[in-house]
Amino acid sequence: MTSPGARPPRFIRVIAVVAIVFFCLPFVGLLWRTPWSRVFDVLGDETSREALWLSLRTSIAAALVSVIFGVPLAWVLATVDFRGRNIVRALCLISMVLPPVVGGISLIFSMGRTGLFGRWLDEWFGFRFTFSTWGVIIAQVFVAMPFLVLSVEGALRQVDPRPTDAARTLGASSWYAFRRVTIPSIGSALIAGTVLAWARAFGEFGATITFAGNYPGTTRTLSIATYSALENDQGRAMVLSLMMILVSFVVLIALRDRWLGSEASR
Amino acid sequence: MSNRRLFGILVACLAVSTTACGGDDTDTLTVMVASSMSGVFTDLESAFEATHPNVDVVVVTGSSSSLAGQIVEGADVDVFASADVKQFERAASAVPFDEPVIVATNTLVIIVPPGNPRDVRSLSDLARDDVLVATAEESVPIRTYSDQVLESAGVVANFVSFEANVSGIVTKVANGEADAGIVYATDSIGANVETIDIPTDINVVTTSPMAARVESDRASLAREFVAFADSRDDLFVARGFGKS
Repeated sequence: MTSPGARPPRFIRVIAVVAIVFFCLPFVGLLWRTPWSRVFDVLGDETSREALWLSLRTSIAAALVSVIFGVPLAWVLATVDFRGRNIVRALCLISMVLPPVVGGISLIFSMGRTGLFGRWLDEWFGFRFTFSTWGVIIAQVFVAMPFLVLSVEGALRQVDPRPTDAARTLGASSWYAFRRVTIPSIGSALIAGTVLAWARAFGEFGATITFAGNYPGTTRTLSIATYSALENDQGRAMVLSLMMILVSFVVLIALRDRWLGSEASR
Repeated sequence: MSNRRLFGILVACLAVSTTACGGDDTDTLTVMVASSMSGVFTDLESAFEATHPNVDVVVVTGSSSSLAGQIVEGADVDVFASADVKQFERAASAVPFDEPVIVATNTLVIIVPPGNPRDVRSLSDLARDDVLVATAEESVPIRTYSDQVLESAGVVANFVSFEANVSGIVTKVANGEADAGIVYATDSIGANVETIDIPTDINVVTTSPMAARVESDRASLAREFVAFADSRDDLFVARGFGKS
């Protein structure tokens, strides 16, 4: 099946190949340096499994939280015309370009034990995000949700408003129309956004270690464990990286069809 | 704007960004320094450059373990100053360095947030359940030293986080997320923390070895820098370091 439009000229294809090589080379380098004899050793030990399990749990939770809050946010940004909307949008997306460490320190200032908001949580409920798994999830949501918002907002802007209007005319509430008419029509963008947000959360390092810290079982995610290992046992770090690549790769491939929309599947 | 013009601008930006530094005949001296000494080495950099107008000293800071790792991996370094002997030897085992000079000594202190909210008074308080203690990963020298101190004091600290480097510990304590931490005496200077001394009989005196890389293209200049650093005790003392 061919996609619409002209085939790119030869020099474009050459440049594309250079880009592909650029992305593949680091993996080849990684595979080249991976101590294969240690793979089962490292993957089997308690510390690695603990970090992988924590990363999977927190990143899935972060993706879910991103959907729960990100879809309404995208809906409002795409359809409600209010003053300062561009500023609000920029504020909500800025964590994408912020160095994650800065994001982490800002989270300390706001939601940390002595932070603007966090101090009340500590005082009233004895609850704190720092050094807890909740802190990991908050840090991941902070950096990951914009990916979902961008993807969903873009789709909502392009969606044909007529079916939704028709549903409204037939007496559906706006929530019902959104759920039953709009959401299905942006399904692929929603899945794409969720997968991107999940992937960003799964790989998140800087905001997590800055805000939540690093403790085995509670806050040491796979990416933090990889970074730690890099300093004293590089072989171990290579194997852990391999595990991260494998998990992400499987998820990205598995969701590819729906992600790119059915017309792109092959 | 036409595509052609946009493309031209892109190419121009790329060209400028890659050639902006270089071209003249300054010698660049790459000095890798443990984060704890970054302040002193900034001072040393300006002092050295003032007397060597054709030399550009580039100070690269990081945890000693991460710097040693970079050197093992073949980073282009002329001088290495580590916060502990172990990480220096790790680097020197992969890449030949001169015999090191001990450029500074340091001791450890307990740091607590401003106002000391948990009323920490001695090492034994670090074992309390209500005192959250931040430390560093096992490979980072500060962890090795503070484990030694805690062991001599017979204290099992209530660790809640293993930071990537000393500044991670200081950040967590200064912002009140952690209630205490053990860092180098010099790290507490200028940070928004209060310090509690550790008795000298159980404290450790850390030594920071520094040396020039033997196979550096600028080895003689590198040795000159090492000798210069070793002669400027005043700069080290001003930043709270000791001299052996």
